Amino acid sequence: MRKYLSSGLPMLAALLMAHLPSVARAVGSNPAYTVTPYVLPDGVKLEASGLALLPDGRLAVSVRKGEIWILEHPEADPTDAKAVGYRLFASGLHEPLGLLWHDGALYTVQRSELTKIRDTDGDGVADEYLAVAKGWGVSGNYHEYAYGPVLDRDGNFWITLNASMGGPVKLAGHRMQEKHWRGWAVSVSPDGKLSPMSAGLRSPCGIAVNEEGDVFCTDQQGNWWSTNPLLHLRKGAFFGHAESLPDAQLPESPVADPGKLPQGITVVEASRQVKGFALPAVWFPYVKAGQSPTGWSATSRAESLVRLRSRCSWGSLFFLA
Amino acid sequence: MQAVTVGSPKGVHAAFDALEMHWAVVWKGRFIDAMTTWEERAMTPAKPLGTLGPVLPPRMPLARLKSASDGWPEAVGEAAGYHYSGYRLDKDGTPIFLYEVGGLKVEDSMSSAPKGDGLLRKIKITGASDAVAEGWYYLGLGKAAQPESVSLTKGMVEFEEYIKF
Repeated sequence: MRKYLSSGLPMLAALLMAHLPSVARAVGSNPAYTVTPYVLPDGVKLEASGLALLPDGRLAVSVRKGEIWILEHPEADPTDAKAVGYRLFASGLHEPLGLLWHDGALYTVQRSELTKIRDTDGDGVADEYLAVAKGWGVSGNYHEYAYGPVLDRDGNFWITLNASMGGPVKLAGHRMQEKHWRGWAVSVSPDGKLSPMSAGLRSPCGIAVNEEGDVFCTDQQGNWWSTNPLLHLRKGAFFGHAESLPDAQLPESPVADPGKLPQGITVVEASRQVKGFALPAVWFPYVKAGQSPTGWSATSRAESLVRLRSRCSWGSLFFLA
Repeated sequence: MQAVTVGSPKGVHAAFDALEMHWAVVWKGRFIDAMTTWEERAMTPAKPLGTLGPVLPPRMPLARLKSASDGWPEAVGEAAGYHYSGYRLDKDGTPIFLYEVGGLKVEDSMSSAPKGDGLLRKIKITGASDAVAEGWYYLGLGKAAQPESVSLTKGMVEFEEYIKF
């Protein structure tokens, strides 16, 4: 999580994978997308971390400082904050980094839990914050961001969890010794069962599904990642970041423990040598195709964009800039 | 600890540990300064401002005992068989924490005492039948607290404790 949206709603910038040289131009202006800056009411800072369009046309926006706002009329004149109507729906959350409308409720991932949020008395403000699942390790290390959720085709929630940067922090009162599933993607069944799925992630902040319900995430260049990838998350895959591997020895792990990772070889060679190693669906050339890829969505509706045909069969790619 | 802090305009506050599922800290005066959780990457923990109240024992409120004179179990959180369900806000915005243990559903809240000189802890226990609570005991937070039998009437019982400070 290198970059947050500084204000307003995210601008959509098209990244045309089939035409990488045109990326710089595309970010500046592109007929394929429209940038709509919203003029916010005084005192409202929308550091958007997640968006969810409600069935009635309202737009919910989670912000990293712990709130969810609802724009009552997102289609109204964006320069008229009153016409758009900004309502504080939920507060007191711990760094929600993602938002999903599902089955009559908003779902977000806080640092330590997947939370289902509802307004049960109809006054427009949330009054129920139910913990759907928790149980991944949180030590207090700053880097322990958690993202999501998204829904796969079977109705399971998916969440991605950063690797801790450095060792766990033992805060006063800290008594939980384990900090499992850091650097993993986990799924949560509709009845709340948490299952580890993929290992080897570093800072997997852009999680989304394609139209077929396959789950993907972006990750961030840094140790064990020479550049930013887009990863096809699935059960048992190991993507290369080593810090997640101790948990592969746990009985719940679907990832086979590959043992000590080889050093000084290319990633492609490693993918041949290391059992269970999964290559990214896409490598983004560093800087040329973005420095910190965050959220994205797959769509086949933008006719003016060149569709990407890959083995994952998803459509055009958009990046939140 | 995964603290959920509950502030009151009357200046008495409490933090619930959503990981171990018991109340952790009470204090009065200023609430907290959350700046450290987003100012820099280091993200040092937010500390209670103001004056700390009595130290709360890090133990669960309900346990199954052979008799009231048994030692209170040391296990906490999920290791003690508890399951955290989240919280609901009541009409004035006070969170009511929800958790379950041994077939009992618990609603646990702290709100400012009427005179503002401490906190009123309310705990409501429900079960599918009165028999579910057989063998279960409740233990309050105060130093002088003694285990009390949890006996449900029509599937429900409530306990209250006044934490003065």
